[in-house]
Amino acid sequence: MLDKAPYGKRFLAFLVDNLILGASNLLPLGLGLILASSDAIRPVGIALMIISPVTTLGFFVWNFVLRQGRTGQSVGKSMFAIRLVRSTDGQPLGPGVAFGRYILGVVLGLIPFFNLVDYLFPLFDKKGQRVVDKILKTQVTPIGSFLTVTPSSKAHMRPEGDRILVVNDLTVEFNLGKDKVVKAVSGVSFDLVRGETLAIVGESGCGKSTLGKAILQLPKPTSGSVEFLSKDLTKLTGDELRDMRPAMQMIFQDPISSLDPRLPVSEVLAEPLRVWNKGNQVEIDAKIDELLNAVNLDPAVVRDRRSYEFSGGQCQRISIARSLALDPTMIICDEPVSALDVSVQAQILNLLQDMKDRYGLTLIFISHDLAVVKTISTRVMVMYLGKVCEVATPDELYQNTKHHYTKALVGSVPIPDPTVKRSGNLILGEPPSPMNPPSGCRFRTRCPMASEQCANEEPQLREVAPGHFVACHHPA
Amino acid sequence: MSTLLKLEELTVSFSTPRGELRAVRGVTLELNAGESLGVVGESGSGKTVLSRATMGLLPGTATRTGKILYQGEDLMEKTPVEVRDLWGTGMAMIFQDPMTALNPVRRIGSQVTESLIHRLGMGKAEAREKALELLKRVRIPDPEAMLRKFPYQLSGGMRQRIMIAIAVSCKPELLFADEPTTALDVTVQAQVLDLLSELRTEFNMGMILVTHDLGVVAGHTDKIAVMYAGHLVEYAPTKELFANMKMPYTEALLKSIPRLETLTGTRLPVIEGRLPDPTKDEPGCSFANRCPYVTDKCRNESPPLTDGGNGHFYRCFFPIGGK
Repeated sequence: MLDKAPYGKRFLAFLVDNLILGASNLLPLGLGLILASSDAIRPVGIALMIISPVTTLGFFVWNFVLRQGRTGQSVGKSMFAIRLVRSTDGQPLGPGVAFGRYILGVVLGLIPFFNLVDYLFPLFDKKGQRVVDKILKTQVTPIGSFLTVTPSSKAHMRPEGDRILVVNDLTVEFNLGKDKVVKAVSGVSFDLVRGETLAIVGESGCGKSTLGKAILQLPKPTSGSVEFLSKDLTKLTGDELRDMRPAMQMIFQDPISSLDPRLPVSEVLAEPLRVWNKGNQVEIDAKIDELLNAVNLDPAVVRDRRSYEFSGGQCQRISIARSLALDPTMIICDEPVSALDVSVQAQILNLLQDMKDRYGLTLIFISHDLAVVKTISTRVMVMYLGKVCEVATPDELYQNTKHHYTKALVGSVPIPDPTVKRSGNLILGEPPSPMNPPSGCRFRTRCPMASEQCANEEPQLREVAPGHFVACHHPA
Repeated sequence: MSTLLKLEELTVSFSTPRGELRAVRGVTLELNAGESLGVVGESGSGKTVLSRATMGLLPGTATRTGKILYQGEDLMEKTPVEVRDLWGTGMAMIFQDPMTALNPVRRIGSQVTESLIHRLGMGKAEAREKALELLKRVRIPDPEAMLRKFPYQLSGGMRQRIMIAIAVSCKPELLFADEPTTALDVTVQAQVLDLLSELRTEFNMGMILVTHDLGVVAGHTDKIAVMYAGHLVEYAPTKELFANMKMPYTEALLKSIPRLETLTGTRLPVIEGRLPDPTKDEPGCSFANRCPYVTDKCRNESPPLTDGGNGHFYRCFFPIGGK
């Protein structure tokens, strides 16, 4: 019996008695935490964490209830049992003390459990701030994020900002029949803070235009959420969604075909105002003149002409005026200058900047040309084959390019100086089919640095410099 | 080097309901065999009409005056059939929009082999072999499968490569590339431009690259001709032009290109105003109403094409950098 054992051995037994209960709780909990930090096996991790108090309870019941009568007869036969249900002097523990030990173990395990609650029920208030954060007055990070350097597809989100748009895990798939599915956008998350200009950059087919349209629910995305002004657009009914539309407008790529050729300019601009009952004809006329003046067109000359009488640059000015008609909060510009000459392109870029300052707009600017977005944007998000590669401010992105795809985009911009040799950092070939994207990192088939890790493990966005996030295993 | 193409005082005008539209006004330029010339200007400056006039691809409403000397022979004096015989083997063209330039209802194979069979008199099997070789040359993956595809199945970059393969299939002496990359992404643009330069050296072709972007021509041409409102306003070897810009218009074009070096939030310098009405003949420099350095002289007199040395010609009374 232990009471006759030496002091050292009795102390050891005391330690083991107390630790075993804790361990039965903390082991699955810790393992679960580690597993949950990776996106792929997060469900397994969470399951482990949920069952950790249960395993402790099981251990407790097995030892204390089922084996109580039979332990204590032989130390050798049941080491665990005797240590668990008997005190160090060999006497059986009272049920209260034993249960107290169980509760202690469970409570210890519950401290990190708050993270799980937060993960399962991410409660946001209207500003997009988590309720848990407010109550605890802390910044509760998503589960597992404190174990590693935030490897998540949402590392670049800014929950503390004044966000007007929060896009979470947006996925857009087009079903072509015969089991063919085009994965145009695969789990893209981003947020838009009031007053900023977010540029979305990538090649044709990377899903940037689809993303822009999915935000406006044209068509509705396959999964994910789009919270605009604190309303989840994906869950709204048709009428509710329609009520949101004036606040979110779009400027399309082809300026000429996006205007009705049969309507004079005054009608093009009057249509949205009439649909939304913005005043009588006199007020609408005044508004049209104001809009045309804002985009530097002379209302007297322009009002009664039709779109085919204008050049591409002028049509784009009319499109901009139309998008401003209903005083929107956010405008999505889908390649607004790609179809224009360089000289006109500069005019339109300056105009967009002016309109943004004048009307306090928030812009999403979609383009394939990094040089174009450089002057206008405040934040750039580079996309490749439906995924986000890199997020940073434009100056940081250019001076400190991390992702090899972004490097190729930077290298492709023509330099108007014959004495400068291009860096030769070009990517060859075509992007792979979005029906069957490569495993792991989607850029690996064209990446000069691709390794085995890139094929097996999908890189997640992580912060490499303040405000600069990159999804790459081998950043430059 | 022998002179491949020489334009002398070429003028092209169209009769329209609003009057005579003068798209190209007295352009004189020269291209040697194997050389590449960039023609740069805004939409409406007459650069596309210039290349189409040379090829003989203008509609019936157009009238041409001046001389188009191709290897010493004036194309304007030839019959349409004689000019047509030059297409493919002598001159070929890559069009701006690869989406519409290919025939949507014919397979790529038949479109690539067409000129091989008709122009070079190849048999079907031989033409097919040659087509495969061409598609490989323009770096199309899996050319065998490509021959059986239709244009709608291809991306813009792939279609433009097919266009290039068709254009160079009969090894022309002179290749016109009319805004070959405007409809393409920057990454694909860089690939296509590099491919064109490679093919030009390989086949020793002369090339006329028409574009609105000075950045595109900078690395890929020997000479540059800047056009404005139908006039040739500056004409110089590429390095000379960038080092020693004379025309305020060329300078303004260059400055309006967005660059990666510009800091975020800076405003791009723009050319205010618009091109003059092409149906009207106004006295003075055509750029006068948009030029920042304009004087009374510019408004009243039309500046002549001045030789600035080093093969640099410009049409300005007060060129940048003095004289």
